[in-house]
Amino acid sequence: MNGFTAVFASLGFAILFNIKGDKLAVAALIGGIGGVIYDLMVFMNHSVAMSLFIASILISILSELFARIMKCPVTTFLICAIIPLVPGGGMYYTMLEIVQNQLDSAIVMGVNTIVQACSIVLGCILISSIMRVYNQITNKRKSLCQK
Amino acid sequence: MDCNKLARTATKAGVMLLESGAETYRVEDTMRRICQAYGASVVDAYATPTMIIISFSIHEELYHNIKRTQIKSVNLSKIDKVNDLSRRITKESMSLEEFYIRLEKIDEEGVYPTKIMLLGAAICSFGFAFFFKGTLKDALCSLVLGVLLKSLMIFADKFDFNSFFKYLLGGAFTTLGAIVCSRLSLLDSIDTTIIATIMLLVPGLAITNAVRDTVSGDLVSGLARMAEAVIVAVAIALGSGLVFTLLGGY
Repeated sequence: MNGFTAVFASLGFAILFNIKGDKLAVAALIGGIGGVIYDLMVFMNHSVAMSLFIASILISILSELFARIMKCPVTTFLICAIIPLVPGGGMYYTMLEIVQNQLDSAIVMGVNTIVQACSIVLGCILISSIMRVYNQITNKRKSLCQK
Repeated sequence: MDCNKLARTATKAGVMLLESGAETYRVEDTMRRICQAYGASVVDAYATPTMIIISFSIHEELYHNIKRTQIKSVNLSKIDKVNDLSRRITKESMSLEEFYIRLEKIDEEGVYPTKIMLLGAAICSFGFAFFFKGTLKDALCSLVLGVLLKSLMIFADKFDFNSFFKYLLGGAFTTLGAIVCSRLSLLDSIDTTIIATIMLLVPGLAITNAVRDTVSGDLVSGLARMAEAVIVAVAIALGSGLVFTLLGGY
Protein backbone atom coordinates (compact mmCIF):
# COMPACT_ATOMS: atom_id res chain seq x y z
CA MET A 1 0.00 0.00 0.00
CA ASN A 2 2.05 2.89 -1.29
CA GLY A 3 -0.82 5.02 -2.55
CA PHE A 4 -0.46 7.76 0.04
CA THR A 5 3.03 8.61 -1.27
CA ALA A 6 1.22 10.33 -4.14
CA VAL A 7 0.90 13.16 -1.58
CA PHE A 8 4.61 13.89 -2.05
CA ALA A 9 4.36 13.63 -5.83
CA SER A 10 1.46 16.09 -5.95
CA LEU A 11 3.11 18.39 -3.44
CA GLY A 12 6.29 18.48 -5.53
CA PHE A 13 4.34 19.29 -8.66
CA ALA A 14 2.34 21.97 -6.86
CA ILE A 15 5.64 23.64 -5.93
CA LEU A 16 6.95 23.32 -9.49
CA PHE A 17 3.73 24.90 -10.78
CA ASN A 18 4.14 27.76 -8.30
CA ILE A 19 1.07 27.21 -6.16
CA LYS A 20 1.31 29.02 -2.84
CA GLY A 21 -0.08 28.88 0.67
CA ASP A 22 -2.86 26.58 1.84
CA LYS A 23 -3.72 25.63 -1.75
CA LEU A 24 -0.44 23.71 -1.77
CA ALA A 25 -1.70 21.49 1.04
CA VAL A 26 -5.10 20.96 -0.58
CA ALA A 27 -3.54 20.00 -3.94
CA ALA A 28 -1.25 17.50 -2.20
CA LEU A 29 -4.14 16.09 -0.17
CA ILE A 30 -6.35 15.53 -3.23
CA GLY A 31 -3.43 13.86 -5.01
CA GLY A 32 -2.90 11.61 -2.02
CA ILE A 33 -6.57 10.61 -1.86
CA GLY A 34 -6.48 9.78 -5.58
CA GLY A 35 -3.39 7.63 -5.08
CA VAL A 36 -4.89 5.75 -2.12
CA ILE A 37 -8.14 5.06 -3.98
CA TYR A 38 -6.23 3.83 -7.03
CA ASP A 39 -4.11 1.52 -4.89
CA LEU A 40 -7.14 0.25 -2.98
CA MET A 41 -9.02 -0.54 -6.21
CA VAL A 42 -6.03 -2.43 -7.65
CA PHE A 43 -5.66 -4.27 -4.31
CA MET A 44 -9.32 -5.33 -4.59
CA ASN A 45 -8.51 -6.96 -7.96
CA HIS A 46 -10.13 -4.40 -10.21
CA SER A 47 -8.38 -3.72 -13.53
CA VAL A 48 -5.84 -0.91 -13.67
CA ALA A 49 -7.93 1.05 -16.18
CA MET A 50 -11.05 0.82 -13.98
CA SER A 51 -9.06 1.91 -10.91
CA LEU A 52 -7.64 4.90 -12.78
CA PHE A 53 -11.12 5.82 -14.00
CA ILE A 54 -12.60 5.84 -10.50
CA ALA A 55 -9.59 7.66 -9.03
CA SER A 56 -9.75 10.33 -11.72
CA ILE A 57 -13.49 10.82 -11.14
CA LEU A 58 -12.86 11.24 -7.43
CA ILE A 59 -9.99 13.69 -8.00
CA SER A 60 -12.13 15.72 -10.42
CA ILE A 61 -15.03 15.93 -7.95
CA LEU A 62 -12.76 16.94 -5.08
CA SER A 63 -11.01 19.54 -7.24
CA GLU A 64 -14.32 21.07 -8.32
CA LEU A 65 -15.47 21.09 -4.70
CA PHE A 66 -12.35 22.76 -3.30
CA ALA A 67 -12.21 25.22 -6.20
CA ARG A 68 -15.64 26.44 -5.11
CA ILE A 69 -14.76 26.53 -1.42
CA MET A 70 -11.47 28.38 -1.92
CA LYS A 71 -12.67 30.42 -4.91
CA CYS A 72 -9.90 29.61 -7.38
CA PRO A 73 -9.64 27.84 -10.76
CA VAL A 74 -10.31 24.09 -10.77
CA THR A 75 -7.06 23.36 -12.61
CA THR A 76 -5.04 24.59 -9.62
CA PHE A 77 -5.82 21.30 -7.87
CA LEU A 78 -6.78 19.07 -10.78
CA ILE A 79 -3.45 19.23 -12.64
CA CYS A 80 -1.28 18.51 -9.60
CA ALA A 81 -3.53 15.73 -8.34
CA ILE A 82 -3.98 13.93 -11.65
CA ILE A 83 -0.28 13.77 -12.58
CA PRO A 84 0.62 10.82 -10.28
CA LEU A 85 -1.95 8.71 -12.16
CA VAL A 86 -0.52 9.39 -15.64
CA PRO A 87 0.79 6.03 -16.93
CA GLY A 88 4.46 6.98 -17.13
CA GLY A 89 5.39 3.41 -16.27
CA GLY A 90 3.44 2.03 -19.23
CA MET A 91 5.13 4.51 -21.56
CA TYR A 92 8.52 3.47 -20.26
CA TYR A 93 7.95 -0.28 -20.56
CA THR A 94 6.55 0.16 -24.09
CA MET A 95 9.74 1.97 -25.05
CA LEU A 96 11.84 -0.72 -23.38
CA GLU A 97 10.12 -3.53 -25.32
CA ILE A 98 10.63 -1.65 -28.59
CA VAL A 99 14.32 -1.12 -27.82
CA GLN A 100 14.71 -4.84 -27.05
CA ASN A 101 13.02 -5.59 -30.39
CA GLN A 102 10.09 -7.46 -28.83
CA LEU A 103 7.39 -5.82 -30.90
CA ASP A 104 4.58 -8.19 -29.85
CA SER A 105 4.81 -7.29 -26.19
CA ALA A 106 5.50 -3.67 -27.12
CA ILE A 107 2.12 -3.50 -28.87
CA VAL A 108 0.35 -5.11 -25.91
CA MET A 109 2.06 -2.65 -23.53
CA GLY A 110 1.35 0.31 -25.81
CA VAL A 111 -2.35 -0.47 -26.15
CA ASN A 112 -2.58 -0.99 -22.39
CA THR A 113 -0.96 2.39 -21.80
CA ILE A 114 -3.32 4.13 -24.22
CA VAL A 115 -6.34 2.49 -22.58
CA GLN A 116 -5.11 3.65 -19.16
CA ALA A 117 -4.57 7.21 -20.40
CA CYS A 118 -8.03 7.17 -21.98
CA SER A 119 -9.68 6.00 -18.76
CA ILE A 120 -8.14 8.93 -16.86
CA VAL A 121 -9.28 11.33 -19.58
CA LEU A 122 -12.76 9.78 -19.53
CA GLY A 123 -13.09 10.37 -15.78
CA CYS A 124 -12.08 14.02 -16.21
CA ILE A 125 -14.44 14.53 -19.17
CA LEU A 126 -17.36 13.00 -17.30
CA ILE A 127 -17.09 15.29 -14.28
CA SER A 128 -16.24 18.49 -16.15
CA SER A 129 -19.16 17.90 -18.55
CA ILE A 130 -21.55 17.40 -15.64
CA MET A 131 -20.20 20.53 -13.93
CA ARG A 132 -20.72 22.54 -17.14
CA VAL A 133 -24.36 21.53 -17.26
CA TYR A 134 -24.71 22.30 -13.55
CA ASN A 135 -23.18 25.76 -14.04
CA GLN A 136 -25.51 26.50 -16.95
CA ILE A 137 -28.52 25.55 -14.85
CA THR A 138 -27.48 27.71 -11.88
CA ASN A 139 -26.68 30.66 -14.17
CA LYS A 140 -30.10 30.38 -15.83
CA ARG A 141 -31.78 30.26 -12.46
CA LYS A 142 -29.83 33.31 -11.28
CA SER A 143 -30.79 35.36 -14.33
CA LEU A 144 -34.42 34.26 -13.95
CA CYS A 145 -34.41 35.40 -10.33
CA GLN A 146 -33.01 38.80 -11.30
CA LYS A 147 -35.79 39.28 -13.83
CA MET B 1 -12.23 56.38 -21.35
CA ASP B 2 -9.34 55.25 -23.53
CA CYS B 3 -10.66 52.40 -25.68
CA ASN B 4 -7.26 51.47 -27.10
CA LYS B 5 -6.00 51.10 -23.57
CA LEU B 6 -8.94 48.83 -22.78
CA ALA B 7 -8.07 46.62 -25.77
CA ARG B 8 -4.44 46.44 -24.64
CA THR B 9 -5.34 45.74 -21.01
CA ALA B 10 -7.74 42.94 -21.92
CA THR B 11 -5.17 41.29 -24.18
CA LYS B 12 -2.48 41.64 -21.53
CA ALA B 13 -4.68 39.79 -19.05
CA GLY B 14 -5.35 37.14 -21.71
CA VAL B 15 -1.67 36.72 -22.54
CA MET B 16 -0.76 36.40 -18.86
CA LEU B 17 -3.38 33.68 -18.39
CA LEU B 18 -2.51 31.79 -21.56
CA GLU B 19 1.24 31.86 -20.96
CA SER B 20 0.87 30.55 -17.42
CA GLY B 21 -1.15 27.59 -18.64
CA ALA B 22 -4.85 28.49 -18.30
CA GLU B 23 -7.59 26.73 -20.23
CA THR B 24 -8.88 28.44 -23.38
CA TYR B 25 -12.38 29.17 -22.12
CA ARG B 26 -10.96 30.88 -19.02
CA VAL B 27 -8.79 33.15 -21.18
CA GLU B 28 -11.70 34.07 -23.46
CA ASP B 29 -14.08 34.47 -20.55
CA THR B 30 -11.75 36.77 -18.60
CA MET B 31 -11.09 39.02 -21.61
CA ARG B 32 -14.83 39.24 -22.31
CA ARG B 33 -15.57 40.04 -18.66
CA ILE B 34 -12.98 42.84 -18.56
CA CYS B 35 -14.32 44.45 -21.75
CA GLN B 36 -17.94 44.22 -20.65
CA ALA B 37 -17.11 45.66 -17.24
CA TYR B 38 -15.82 48.80 -18.94
CA GLY B 39 -18.87 49.24 -21.10
CA ALA B 40 -17.94 47.50 -24.35
CA SER B 41 -20.63 45.71 -26.31
CA VAL B 42 -20.50 42.89 -28.89
CA VAL B 43 -17.33 41.49 -27.37
CA ASP B 44 -15.64 38.62 -29.21
CA ALA B 45 -12.58 37.00 -27.71
CA TYR B 46 -10.70 34.12 -29.28
CA ALA B 47 -7.67 32.28 -27.98
CA THR B 48 -5.53 29.38 -29.13
CA PRO B 49 -2.31 28.29 -27.40
CA THR B 50 -0.29 30.59 -29.69
CA MET B 51 -2.57 33.53 -30.40
CA ILE B 52 -5.17 35.86 -28.90
CA ILE B 53 -7.70 37.95 -30.82
CA ILE B 54 -10.13 40.41 -29.28
CA SER B 55 -12.72 42.62 -30.89
CA PHE B 56 -15.36 44.85 -29.29
CA SER B 57 -17.31 48.00 -29.98
CA ILE B 58 -17.82 51.12 -27.86
CA HIS B 59 -20.04 54.01 -29.04
CA GLU B 60 -20.44 52.44 -32.52
CA GLU B 61 -16.64 52.33 -32.92
CA LEU B 62 -14.98 48.95 -33.52
CA TYR B 63 -11.68 48.06 -31.79
CA HIS B 64 -9.45 45.02 -32.32
CA ASN B 65 -6.23 43.63 -30.98
CA ILE B 66 -4.20 40.57 -31.95
CA LYS B 67 -1.36 39.17 -29.89
CA ARG B 68 1.04 36.34 -30.62
CA THR B 69 1.81 34.31 -27.50
CA GLN B 70 4.35 31.72 -26.51
CA ILE B 71 4.04 28.77 -24.22
CA LYS B 72 6.01 29.77 -21.14
CA SER B 73 6.55 28.36 -17.69
CA VAL B 74 3.50 27.13 -15.83
CA ASN B 75 2.36 29.41 -13.01
CA LEU B 76 -0.98 28.36 -11.56
CA SER B 77 -1.10 31.04 -8.87
CA LYS B 78 -0.84 33.76 -11.53
CA ILE B 79 -3.92 32.31 -13.23
CA ASP B 80 -5.71 32.36 -9.90
CA LYS B 81 -4.81 36.01 -9.24
CA VAL B 82 -5.66 37.38 -12.69
CA ASN B 83 -8.94 35.49 -12.66
CA ASP B 84 -9.79 36.83 -9.23
CA LEU B 85 -8.83 40.41 -10.15
CA SER B 86 -11.04 40.40 -13.26
CA ARG B 87 -14.02 39.31 -11.17
CA ARG B 88 -13.47 42.18 -8.74
CA ILE B 89 -13.70 45.00 -11.34
CA THR B 90 -17.43 45.44 -11.08
CA LYS B 91 -17.59 44.66 -7.37
CA GLU B 92 -15.03 47.30 -6.37
CA SER B 93 -15.71 49.65 -9.32
CA MET B 94 -12.01 49.73 -10.20
CA SER B 95 -10.83 52.23 -12.78
CA LEU B 96 -9.07 50.93 -15.91
CA GLU B 97 -5.77 52.53 -14.82
CA GLU B 98 -5.95 50.93 -11.42
CA PHE B 99 -6.79 47.56 -12.96
CA TYR B 100 -3.80 47.81 -15.31
CA ILE B 101 -1.45 48.73 -12.45
CA ARG B 102 -2.64 45.79 -10.36
CA LEU B 103 -2.29 43.51 -13.38
CA GLU B 104 1.32 44.59 -13.85
CA LYS B 105 1.96 44.03 -10.16
CA ILE B 106 0.74 40.44 -10.51
CA ASP B 107 2.93 40.00 -13.59
CA GLU B 108 6.02 41.15 -11.71
CA GLU B 109 5.47 38.79 -8.80
CA GLY B 110 8.16 36.18 -9.05
CA VAL B 111 7.92 32.42 -9.01
CA TYR B 112 9.52 30.34 -6.28
CA PRO B 113 13.32 30.73 -6.20
CA THR B 114 15.34 28.01 -7.93
CA LYS B 115 16.28 26.37 -4.61
CA ILE B 116 12.63 25.78 -3.72
CA MET B 117 11.94 24.52 -7.25
CA LEU B 118 14.74 21.97 -6.88
CA LEU B 119 13.32 20.98 -3.49
CA GLY B 120 9.95 20.47 -5.19
CA ALA B 121 11.54 18.23 -7.82
CA ALA B 122 13.28 16.28 -5.04
CA ILE B 123 10.04 15.72 -3.08
CA CYS B 124 8.28 14.78 -6.29
CA SER B 125 10.67 12.10 -7.54
CA PHE B 126 11.22 10.78 -4.00
CA GLY B 127 7.45 10.31 -3.61
CA PHE B 128 7.08 8.73 -7.04
CA ALA B 129 9.75 6.12 -6.31
CA PHE B 130 7.63 4.82 -3.40
CA PHE B 131 4.43 5.22 -5.39
CA PHE B 132 5.87 2.81 -7.98
CA LYS B 133 6.81 0.38 -5.21
CA GLY B 134 10.52 1.13 -5.15
CA THR B 135 12.86 0.70 -2.19
CA LEU B 136 14.55 3.43 -0.17
CA LYS B 137 17.69 3.05 -2.31
CA ASP B 138 15.68 3.66 -5.48
CA ALA B 139 13.99 6.65 -3.89
CA LEU B 140 17.30 8.25 -2.92
CA CYS B 141 18.72 7.70 -6.41
CA SER B 142 15.63 9.20 -8.05
CA LEU B 143 15.78 12.12 -5.62
CA VAL B 144 19.30 12.98 -6.78
CA LEU B 145 18.46 12.36 -10.44
CA GLY B 146 15.26 14.41 -10.09
CA VAL B 147 17.17 17.43 -8.77
CA LEU B 148 19.76 17.13 -11.54
CA LEU B 149 17.03 16.69 -14.17
CA LYS B 150 15.19 19.79 -12.95
CA SER B 151 18.40 21.83 -13.09
CA LEU B 152 18.93 20.57 -16.65
CA MET B 153 15.39 21.66 -17.56
CA ILE B 154 15.92 25.11 -16.02
CA PHE B 155 19.17 25.39 -17.97
CA ALA B 156 17.40 24.33 -21.19
CA ASP B 157 14.65 26.91 -20.62
CA LYS B 158 17.26 29.64 -20.20
CA PHE B 159 18.76 28.89 -23.60
CA ASP B 160 15.40 28.45 -25.35
CA PHE B 161 15.76 24.82 -26.40
CA ASN B 162 12.74 23.72 -28.42
CA SER B 163 10.45 21.48 -26.41
CA PHE B 164 11.09 18.29 -28.40
CA PHE B 165 14.85 18.51 -27.95
CA LYS B 166 14.47 19.55 -24.33
CA TYR B 167 12.41 16.49 -23.39
CA LEU B 168 14.60 14.20 -25.53
CA LEU B 169 17.59 15.43 -23.57
CA GLY B 170 15.69 14.96 -20.30
CA GLY B 171 14.76 11.36 -21.09
CA ALA B 172 18.30 10.56 -22.21
CA PHE B 173 19.87 12.16 -19.15
CA THR B 174 17.60 10.30 -16.72
CA THR B 175 18.30 6.94 -18.34
CA LEU B 176 22.03 7.58 -18.44
CA GLY B 177 22.04 8.62 -14.78
CA ALA B 178 20.07 5.55 -13.73
CA ILE B 179 22.37 3.22 -15.68
CA VAL B 180 25.42 4.79 -14.02
CA CYS B 181 23.78 4.35 -10.60
CA SER B 182 22.95 0.73 -11.33
CA ARG B 183 26.53 0.00 -12.50
CA LEU B 184 27.70 1.40 -9.16
CA SER B 185 24.97 -0.83 -7.63
CA LEU B 186 23.42 2.11 -5.80
CA LEU B 187 19.87 1.02 -6.64
CA ASP B 188 17.66 -2.06 -6.62
CA SER B 189 15.40 -1.52 -9.61
CA ILE B 190 16.60 0.55 -12.54
CA ASP B 191 13.09 0.65 -14.07
CA THR B 192 11.48 2.14 -10.95
CA THR B 193 14.20 4.75 -10.65
CA ILE B 194 13.87 5.84 -14.28
CA ILE B 195 10.06 5.97 -14.16
CA ALA B 196 10.02 7.90 -10.88
CA THR B 197 12.41 10.49 -12.26
CA ILE B 198 10.83 10.70 -15.70
CA MET B 199 7.42 11.44 -14.16
CA LEU B 200 8.80 14.96 -13.59
CA LEU B 201 8.62 15.49 -17.36
CA VAL B 202 5.18 13.98 -17.94
CA PRO B 203 2.90 16.47 -19.78
CA GLY B 204 0.19 16.53 -17.12
CA LEU B 205 -0.79 20.13 -17.76
CA ALA B 206 -1.14 19.60 -21.52
CA ILE B 207 -3.31 16.50 -21.02
CA THR B 208 -5.61 18.14 -18.45
CA ASN B 209 -6.01 21.30 -20.50
CA ALA B 210 -6.54 19.32 -23.72
CA VAL B 211 -9.42 17.49 -22.05
CA ARG B 212 -10.99 20.63 -20.60
CA ASP B 213 -10.64 22.54 -23.88
CA THR B 214 -12.24 19.72 -25.85
CA VAL B 215 -15.11 19.48 -23.40
CA SER B 216 -15.84 23.21 -23.64
CA GLY B 217 -15.84 23.06 -27.44
CA ASP B 218 -12.48 24.75 -28.15
CA LEU B 219 -11.46 22.06 -30.59
CA VAL B 220 -8.45 23.84 -32.10
CA SER B 221 -6.81 24.38 -28.70
CA GLY B 222 -7.80 20.91 -27.54
CA LEU B 223 -6.14 19.25 -30.52
CA ALA B 224 -3.07 21.48 -30.29
CA ARG B 225 -2.58 20.61 -26.63
CA MET B 226 -3.17 16.91 -27.24
CA ALA B 227 -0.50 17.09 -29.97
CA GLU B 228 1.83 18.79 -27.49
CA ALA B 229 1.28 16.00 -24.96
CA VAL B 230 1.96 13.28 -27.55
CA ILE B 231 5.09 15.05 -28.84
CA VAL B 232 6.47 15.36 -25.30
CA ALA B 233 5.73 11.72 -24.50
CA VAL B 234 7.38 10.55 -27.72
CA ALA B 235 10.40 12.76 -27.09
CA ILE B 236 10.93 11.34 -23.60
CA ALA B 237 10.59 7.75 -24.87
CA LEU B 238 12.97 8.45 -27.78
CA GLY B 239 15.61 9.99 -25.53
CA SER B 240 15.41 7.14 -23.08
CA GLY B 241 15.37 4.50 -25.83
CA LEU B 242 18.33 6.09 -27.57
CA VAL B 243 20.54 5.68 -24.51
CA PHE B 244 19.42 2.09 -23.99
CA THR B 245 20.16 1.25 -27.62
CA LEU B 246 23.56 2.95 -27.61
CA LEU B 247 24.60 1.23 -24.40
CA GLY B 248 23.12 -2.12 -25.44
CA GLY B 249 20.51 -2.68 -22.73
CA TYR B 250 21.40 -2.39 -19.09
